[in-house]
Amino acid sequence: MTLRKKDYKAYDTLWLALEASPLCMLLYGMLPIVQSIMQTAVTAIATAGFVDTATAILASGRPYQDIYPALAVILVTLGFVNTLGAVARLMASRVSVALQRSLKPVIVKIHASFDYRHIEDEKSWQLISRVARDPVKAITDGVAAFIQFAQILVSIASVFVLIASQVWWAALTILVFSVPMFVLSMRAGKKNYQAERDAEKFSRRTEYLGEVLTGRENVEERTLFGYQDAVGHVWQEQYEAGRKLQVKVTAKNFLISKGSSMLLALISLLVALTLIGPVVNAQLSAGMFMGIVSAVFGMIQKLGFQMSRSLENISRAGEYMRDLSGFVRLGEAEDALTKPDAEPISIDSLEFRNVRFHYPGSEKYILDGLSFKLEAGRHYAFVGKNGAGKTTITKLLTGLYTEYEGQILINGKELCEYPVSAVKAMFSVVYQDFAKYCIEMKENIALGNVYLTGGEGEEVREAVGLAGKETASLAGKEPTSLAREETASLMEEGTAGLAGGKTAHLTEEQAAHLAGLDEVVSGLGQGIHTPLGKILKDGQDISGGQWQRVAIARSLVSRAPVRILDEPTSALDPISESNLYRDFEKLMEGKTTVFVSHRLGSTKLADEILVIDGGRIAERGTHEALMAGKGQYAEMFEAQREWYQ
Amino acid sequence: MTNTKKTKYNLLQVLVKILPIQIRSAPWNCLLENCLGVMHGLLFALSVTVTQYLFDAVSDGASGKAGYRECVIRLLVLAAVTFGQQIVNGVQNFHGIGVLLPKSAGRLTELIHKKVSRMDPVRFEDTDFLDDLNKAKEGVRAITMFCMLVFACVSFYGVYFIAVGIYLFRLDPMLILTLLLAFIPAMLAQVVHIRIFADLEDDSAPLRRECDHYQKAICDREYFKETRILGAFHFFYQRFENAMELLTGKIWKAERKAALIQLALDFTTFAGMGLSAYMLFTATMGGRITVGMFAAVFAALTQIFAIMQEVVKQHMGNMNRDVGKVVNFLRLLAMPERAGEEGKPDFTKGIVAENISFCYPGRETLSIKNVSLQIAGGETIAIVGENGAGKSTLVRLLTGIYRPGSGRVLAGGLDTARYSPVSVFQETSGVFQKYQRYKMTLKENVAISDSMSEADPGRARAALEESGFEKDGIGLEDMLSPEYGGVDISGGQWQRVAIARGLYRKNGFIVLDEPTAAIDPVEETKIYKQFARLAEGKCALVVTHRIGSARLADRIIVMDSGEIVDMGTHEELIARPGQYARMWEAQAQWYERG
Repeated sequence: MTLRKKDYKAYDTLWLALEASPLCMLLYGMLPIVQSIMQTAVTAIATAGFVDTATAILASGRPYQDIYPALAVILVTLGFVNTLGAVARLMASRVSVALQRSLKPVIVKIHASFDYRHIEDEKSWQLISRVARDPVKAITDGVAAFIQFAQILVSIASVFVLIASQVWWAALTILVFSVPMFVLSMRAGKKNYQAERDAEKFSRRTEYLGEVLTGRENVEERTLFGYQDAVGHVWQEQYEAGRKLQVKVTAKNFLISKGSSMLLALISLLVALTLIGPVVNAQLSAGMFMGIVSAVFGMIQKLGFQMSRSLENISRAGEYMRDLSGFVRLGEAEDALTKPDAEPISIDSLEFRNVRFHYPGSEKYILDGLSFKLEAGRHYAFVGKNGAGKTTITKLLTGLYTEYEGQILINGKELCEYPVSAVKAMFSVVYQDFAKYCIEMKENIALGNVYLTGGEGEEVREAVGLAGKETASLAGKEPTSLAREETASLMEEGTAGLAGGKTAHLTEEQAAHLAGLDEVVSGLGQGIHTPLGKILKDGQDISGGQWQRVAIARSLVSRAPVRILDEPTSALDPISESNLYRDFEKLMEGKTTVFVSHRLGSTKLADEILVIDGGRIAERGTHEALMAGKGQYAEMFEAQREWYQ
Repeated sequence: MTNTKKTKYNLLQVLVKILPIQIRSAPWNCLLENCLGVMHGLLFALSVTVTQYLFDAVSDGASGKAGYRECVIRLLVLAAVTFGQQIVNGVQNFHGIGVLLPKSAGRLTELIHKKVSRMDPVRFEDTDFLDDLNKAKEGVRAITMFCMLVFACVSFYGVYFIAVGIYLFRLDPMLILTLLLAFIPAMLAQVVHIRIFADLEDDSAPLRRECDHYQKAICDREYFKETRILGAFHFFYQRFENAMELLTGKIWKAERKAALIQLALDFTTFAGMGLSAYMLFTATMGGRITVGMFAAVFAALTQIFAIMQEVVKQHMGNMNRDVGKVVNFLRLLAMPERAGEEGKPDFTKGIVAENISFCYPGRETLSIKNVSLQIAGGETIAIVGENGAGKSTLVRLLTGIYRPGSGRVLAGGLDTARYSPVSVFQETSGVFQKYQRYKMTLKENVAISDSMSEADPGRARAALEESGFEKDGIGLEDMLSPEYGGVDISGGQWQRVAIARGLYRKNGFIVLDEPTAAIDPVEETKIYKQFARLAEGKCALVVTHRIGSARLADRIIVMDSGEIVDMGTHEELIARPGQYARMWEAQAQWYERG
């Protein structure tokens, strides 16, 4: 199944369902309609047949056995009416399953390909969330609404045809009176969304206050400050105000839906009134009168309610489809889903030349004339206040945002001239909000180099001559504390056989070891094959700091020539942070690293420090040079150092 | 602290417990709801009789025994009953959904709020409790829905079936069987349906979670950029498709099974209706009932069966689904509360901890082991230690937010386990690591710490002044949340609001927990200094992550694995080889550069 860039309308739910499962959808559409005809016109005819025959037998002595065919017709009709529903429901669930299998993956794929700015842009993100939440339900609800509406129309039409076939002028009278009423009631069905939105405002507020009263985050303040009664009081006020608004909205909705019931009741009365004359004048049999009147009055109860609801659901489906049209139209990033190149290019230099950038939807330039040049094999630290633009730099480098002014040059060539797969292979990033994938720990690490996952792993390992090596020798060694000392030698071991200067290629086990995960691994039920998180069977939770180490191990297996560590220590306390720095010093020897942090301890590892302020480089140099310059860096550093003197 | 065993309730016990709660939440509305139900049921049943009268007249009219007028009058009666029934039905539905439900939901939510405020805060560390609390919140609407169904079954359906039953019985005693024939297949279908889908849920829930997670790993904000840069899309997409295939396979199997059983039961229903129709037929042919009666009852037959299905399948199904939620609500209300004697703390007496130990619910190891400590009046204590050493837990015990599992804490002379929370806390304030960013006005954000008295703008202004909040054109009445049409302030500004909040509350004892969240070094230093000023001359506890800042305290406590491993002034501690010196060294090294 594919979704085209077009304006999807409410009725397109039917087409999508039809595309997903043509036969079942046809049956699903037909059966309820047949059922409606059976329930109304056919039941009426059957009843008429029976009553008239019975009357004839009782009054004028028609042979008794004449009644049996009439009885049989009644019973068969009953049988159909009763059993078609189950079959239709089965078809409906088949359609739903088919949509789950064909539509859902398509939505996921489109979602995954979006230009990154849509993910960070609040408005687009809301649209995406609305569409992706439960597309199958939205569409099947739409389909069901259309079918329900068709059922209503068919019920009405079949009774109408029946009447017309009996007394044509009665049908005409009814038509003349009911059509305008019908149109009127459809008009009234347009809802007052404004009132609903006003009521929603209050419910959002009470929801928030409820969170304040019962949430976990603020349990300390709540307990100590004891504000429950005061906030509870505000909650009550807000709730009551919202409730009073909501009552009005609900009242209106009920008036509309009951209005159509009453309308149907009125039409039924009209039908019955018109038909009494013909019965008395013997133009219509009493049985037929009873059949028709039963059918018509039987409809009131069901249809009035269903009509307003199906119309409402159809318009809801229309809204969803409008969202869907917007969703498929959001821009996709080119080659978003490609894997990084297996063999990354080597990077000699990386340069920003007068780069200016603002986020879409914001006027403010977060990078404003940023220029710097980084060289291979050195460690860089980017420091600066929050909001200075540090993280934005990593987003531009990794190609998440492409609409910047100025130039970003890799080996002197503009970044966007490289294929996407090459750019992906250039950088390995440990993010501040690194991903916690709930899969096996080994897979979690292997994702750092996707060629390690699945069957492809072996090939690559063989290709670089690493298969099966090392793991045995690692098993016996002591955990973390020793790891630091032996890191350097292990790294060399790992790179043995690779061309000098190239990035190391480690196995998942080695990476876990280097990232200090040995203790964690041995504590897990199935070692490195234990699923992390609580999603998979036998999955186990690990702490925030341990997750961070997994993220670091992921970066270690990567073959990317440049490693970016974006606030990698934010989940750690300063003591663990300090340990991590020490590890990193060893792990990253000889590689190009960019350390983004607002903590200054990290700068000790750096060959050069770049201070970012107001979207440009405020200062740049070695620690000593910057301290001597007595600028922003010196101020920040002194602020922290004074504690340790 | 042990987990209370979960009490089991059966349906009857649930009913006995929740009906009074429901009725108390909106007594008049409950009464009205039932009156409407009875009226609706009667009118509904009446329409069958009235239809029969009409049909009799029409059938007489056809054979010339009755006139046009007679028929029209009877039709008008039927129309009147139908209109009346529609109106009552509309009013009842509106009253139930639009009035009773939200009204009761409000009252019941208040019950939860009040209950939570009286419970031990330590429960919030227990994920099981958080789960229960969430479920109890879901129970709020469920209770009213549940009770409304009970009301409907008694007043509306009960009255309807009794009235129709009497009518049928009077026509022909045999016809009363119709009701039974309608009931049995519907009941069977319901039982089978529940079983199949309960099994499906057990079976498919893990797969569904897996499927959702893979989708998240591709699409969610927290994963998006990393998955893209890693090129891990295909890895997760493959797994997503596989899990989806399995999941939908299971769903389809269950649906098919349910449909087949349903079909079989539909045949039973049909057989029931057929049998009823046959009884009507013999009664008609035997001359016991008129053809008009036949037509009216036959038409009503479909209705009776449909309503029976509605009661049993839909309503009982919903009740069955909701009973779990209702039970969660009841369990929450039954949980123990925290109370105690009234008293007034005197912090010149300081704070004393005698041999306290503490274990979080659901955990096996002690978070605090045998800690004894004396803080003199006016003394400032700094607590240092690695993450997970028990610093925050100790603070919560010393303030009385938690009560020790063994040993006792005297805060300002009051035993925190014996006195009521309000008494213990009345002179304690704090600035917490996880300080709150209330989506309220600036004034409310500050004055919320002392909500017992009317918010005092002068005091709030003074507190903000002292905390160093930069006015920047933000007034006391400004909303601090863009979501509610207010302003957005920076993290540093929020920190100052939190400090002002701590200051606003009268205190003889203050807790200052340092933020670890992202703030730049200059900001960090400012906050440390501010804390030092705030603590001056008071009983104060400062939790600190920068070892160096602990120097400002009178004494420093070093914690490790829930124990106090060292105690003393900065100079004393740095002089001896121990954890403090090690931690000092670990941090200081980054600032020693040649």
